[in-house]
Formats: sequence, structure tokens, C-alpha cells
Amino acid sequence: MNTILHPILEVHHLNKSYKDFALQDVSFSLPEGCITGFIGANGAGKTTTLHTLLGLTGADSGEIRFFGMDMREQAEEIKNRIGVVLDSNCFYEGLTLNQMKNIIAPAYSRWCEEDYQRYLRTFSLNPKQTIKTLSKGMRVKYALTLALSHKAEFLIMDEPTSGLDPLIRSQVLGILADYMENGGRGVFFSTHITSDLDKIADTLILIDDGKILFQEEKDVLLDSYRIVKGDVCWLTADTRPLFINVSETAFGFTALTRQAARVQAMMPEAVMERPHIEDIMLGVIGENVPAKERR
Amino acid sequence: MLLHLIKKEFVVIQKQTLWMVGLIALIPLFMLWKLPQYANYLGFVFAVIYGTFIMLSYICLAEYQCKKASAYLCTTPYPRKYLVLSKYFFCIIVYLFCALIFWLETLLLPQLGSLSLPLAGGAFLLIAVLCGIYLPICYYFGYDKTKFVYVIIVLGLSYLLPVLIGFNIEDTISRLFMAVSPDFAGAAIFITGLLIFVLSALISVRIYDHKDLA
Amino acid sequence: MKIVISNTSDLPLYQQIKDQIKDAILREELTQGDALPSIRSFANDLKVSVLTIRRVYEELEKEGFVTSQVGIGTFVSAGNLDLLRDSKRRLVEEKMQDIIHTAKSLSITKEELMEMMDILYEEE
Repeated sequence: MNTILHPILEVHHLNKSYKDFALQDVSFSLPEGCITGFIGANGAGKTTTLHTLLGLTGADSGEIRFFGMDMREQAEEIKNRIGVVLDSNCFYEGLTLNQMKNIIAPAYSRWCEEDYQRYLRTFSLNPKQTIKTLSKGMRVKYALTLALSHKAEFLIMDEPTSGLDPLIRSQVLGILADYMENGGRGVFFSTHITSDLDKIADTLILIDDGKILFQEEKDVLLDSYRIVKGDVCWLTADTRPLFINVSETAFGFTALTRQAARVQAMMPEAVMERPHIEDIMLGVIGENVPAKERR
Repeated sequence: MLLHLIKKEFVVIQKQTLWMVGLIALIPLFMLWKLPQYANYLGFVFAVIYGTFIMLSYICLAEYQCKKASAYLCTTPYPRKYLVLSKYFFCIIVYLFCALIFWLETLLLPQLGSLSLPLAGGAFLLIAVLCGIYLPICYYFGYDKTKFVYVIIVLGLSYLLPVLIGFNIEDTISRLFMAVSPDFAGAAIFITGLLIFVLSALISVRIYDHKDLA
Repeated sequence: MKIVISNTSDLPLYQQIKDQIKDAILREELTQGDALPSIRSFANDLKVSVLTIRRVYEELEKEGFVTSQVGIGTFVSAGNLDLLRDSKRRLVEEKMQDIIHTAKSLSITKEELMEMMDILYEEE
């Protein structure tokens, strides 16, 4: 089996400062064939990073490569091969779906009208309807339709499922899974809805306060942490340092740990469970807080 | 690609198009009724100003209301340069359209005079100056801050032009271009207008290239 | 083939999946030439990362249980029948070790154990 995975997106030492926020030394590398979730709290830098990747704003320093090509030199060619889903309000409201499509389609050399019609049908969208009258869920589906109708090899999306009801979210995630099975080479989407990532992500990148805290395979991440529940009296000076994000009540404590084996040894009766992505996210961000306060 | 973007400008303001066409056609007729001796100049010049400049500001308004739409367009392979140039071509096309309507009206209503080259050139120069100043400012400061500039220009012109006309343009022009034929002068004015458009476009493209669209 | 991932097991995810596929092959639920699901659909169904399934398939291939052909899929290979047989024997031996260990700790003699074995074997 060919196990060499060429990175489909590489970011090296990206820096971008604003007045009261800065992306600092952001680096990551997305292997091909993966759905990557870009997670972080609101204001952590997800959208800024995405905007910088897409060329909407210039980086102060750093390198961005898609499919091995430098964004500074081959932006048009890269953009031709990626599908973009931004905010659902990035259309001319007064236009119909078809009119908006007729503006977007000629930009792409591999626009496929059959794909467009097919997605319209799949999503039950009426092409003659005015964009203004679409609900949020329909707008996201329309944005996906446009992004998927030009044989894009890579999808970049900014919080595509936020504000959507669980049914539509599930539909969107299903479309992403289909996309990967049918020729898609990668998906990169930012979100703060971690339950979506539990279902569909292959790799995760966590950003907080403009810095990348980790990039990891989802399952490796879930394997390396455990949720520990036990009696508060087991938390001693020796055991406390093993935990992150301890929450104590009158009935016991719950905490996250990276050192499951040691915890097991020192508290053999503690209950150990696999965490969810949210637990890890909260734990790692919580660890990062002292660093922020030091600034 | 550029053609599609130019088409986009017209599609985006399609709802305004109908009554703007009516306005462009009616202004010269209105002038004919109110100030028949100046209908030729004022009729055409006002039609051009209201037609082109106002349409342009409608487009800038639409872009402002759907701010993220132009950001989205920048994530497509459309070069930012073309997104700027499409507005300039839009201005020129609308101008040509105004000229066409006016010319047709002069054929139907001889009292309206004729669309002479100096007149066409003068109006073109005027619109080149107006749009040429408005667009870079709009790109740099954003539509919101530029709104009042546009209002001042339009109102100012409405008062200024009749005053200028009082100076008897024809005499002025013939004195300025004594040595040359009016047609040659007209052509020269056209070219000056084009140069102003080109200069303004270069500035706007440069501004927009570096603009933070996040 | 049944694959169930335990939330409380200490084993890494890929290990659990790999072991259960191996068991299925050893129990002959999956036989020579059977196709394993595509990486992406398998990952979706189990709600794990494609990278995990990729690792599972790679290790299974290294251990001789499957072969994969790029662009076509991954298939059970009985290329190593001996290996399989040995593995099967080893599986039983492992279980026997458990029985013997438990028996010894409960002070059950070898003879008692053999008696129990005879009875139970006939019942099956």
C-alpha cells in the first residue's frame, strides 16, 4: 500500500498581527485524504487563519502551500482547485441562485453544470429563488453546491455547521463524507461544534489565542487522554499534577489526564473513560490560560 | 473573465436599471421643457452624470451591503484587478449608453440640438473626473465614509453647472481651441478623459490589491 | 463481521479494530478473497479516523492477513495458512493459559480440570 501521504496544505510559520490580536508562528501540515477539523474557542484565530490561507488578507510572514504550490506565486491556479465555503452571507442578496452561479461559475475552468444541477436537486434548492429568501440552512447548502460544482480537490470551510439544526448538520457532514469517497482529496473546516468532529474528523488542529496548541490524529488524541472520575480524597500533592482541568464537587472529582497508566497505578479504583474531543479541547485550552495571563 | 465581471455589475443593480434608463431618457426632455436654450448641454451632461455616477454609487452601495460577497469573489480565481476594472468598464459602458439614448433623442427632437464631439468629449471628461476621483476614494475609505462625498458632488454639480453654463461654454471652448477644429478638440478631450480613467484605475487596483478583506 | 469499539478498554483504537478483524479471519468469518470495506466507508461506519483504518490495514498486511491493491481494495489473503493455523493454535493456547492460571489459583488439580474439559467438550 502506498503509505506516503503528500501534504495537501502546508503552513509554515505564519504570522499576522492586528491591533489586539495576532497569529503567532502558525504551522501545520495536512496529509492528503483527510478531513481536518480546526477547532478553537471564539476569537482564537480560526477565521483569521482561514482568511489568510485564502489570500483575503496578507500575512506578515510565513509560507502557505497548497498541493505543493506557493500561494504567493500561483494563487489563481490554487484557487481554481479549491472549493470555499465562507460565512453564509457572502452572496449578493438580491440575486437568484442561478444569477449568483452565473457570476461564480466562469471563474473556474472545471465548472461542471451537471454537478451543480445534481446538488441543487439533492439539496432541494430552487435555482430561481432569491438568495435573500433562503434560510440559513439553505444558504449553507447553496454555498456547498457552488464549492462542489467545479471538481474541487480540496474544500476549505469556515464554521459551515454553526447555527444549523442537527438534521441539516448531519446532512452536511454526510455530504463531506461522500465528497471524500468520490475524489475529494481533503477537507479543512473550522468549527467550535466538537460533536461534529467526533463523527467525521480524521485530524484535529487546536488553536488558542493565535497559537497552535496541537495537531493530532483524532484517534491518537482520544487514545492518549482519559477522563478520570473518583473520590476527592484521592487528590493529593502527588496525584494532582497528573491531571488537567480538575472539577471537584461534594460527590467526587472529574479530571482529564495524559498519564492514564500512572493514574491507574495510584488510584486503582478510579473510573477511567475515553474522553470526547470537547473534553480534550477544554483541558488543553485550560492549560494554556496561564500562558495567556502571563502576557 | 473580465467580461463576466462586467456583466455582474449590471446584474447586481438590475432592479435599478429600469427606472435609471427612464431617468436618462427623461432628463434631456425635462431640460428641453424648462431651459430649452441649454437643453443641449445640460440635458446631456446631467443625463450622463445622473446615469453614470449614480449607477456607479448604486453598485458601490450593493458591494457595501453585501461586503462579504466581494471577499468571496476574491477566493475564486478572479484576480482582484479584474474586480476593480469591471467597475471602470461599467462606467464607460453606461456613458456610451447615455450617449446613445441622447443621440436618438436628438434625431427625434431637433430642438435638442446635436451630440457634437466636443459635447460628448466634455461630458466624458467630466464623468472621468467624477468617477476617477470617487472610485479610489471609495476603495480606500470604504463606501460608508465616502457617501457624503458623493452627495456633495451631485448636489454641488446641480448648482454649479448652470453657473458654468452662464460663462458660455461654446465661446470658451472656441477661444481655447482657436487653432484646432472642434472635432479635434473633442477627440483630445475624450483621450484626456480616458487617461484619467486609466490613471484612476491604476490607483484603485493598487489600493484594492493590498486591501484587507477579512 | 462484528466490530465493537469499547469506550473503557485500555487498548488503543487501532489495536481493538485490528484484533477484532484478526479474530474474524481466524474464526473464518472472513475467508480468502473477501473484500474488506474501503478505508473511508469503514472509518465512517466506525466513527474513527481514516488514518486509524489505514494503520490497521497496513499492520494486517505486514502480518500477512490481508493484501491490498492500490485503487482496488484490501482483501483477506490466506497466503499464510500456516501462520493462520499457528495463530489459531496460539489463540487456543492463550485461552488455555488463562484457564490453567485460574484453576491453579483456585486450587483445582489437573485431573479435575481434564474431567471438566471432557464433560464440557461433549456438551458442545
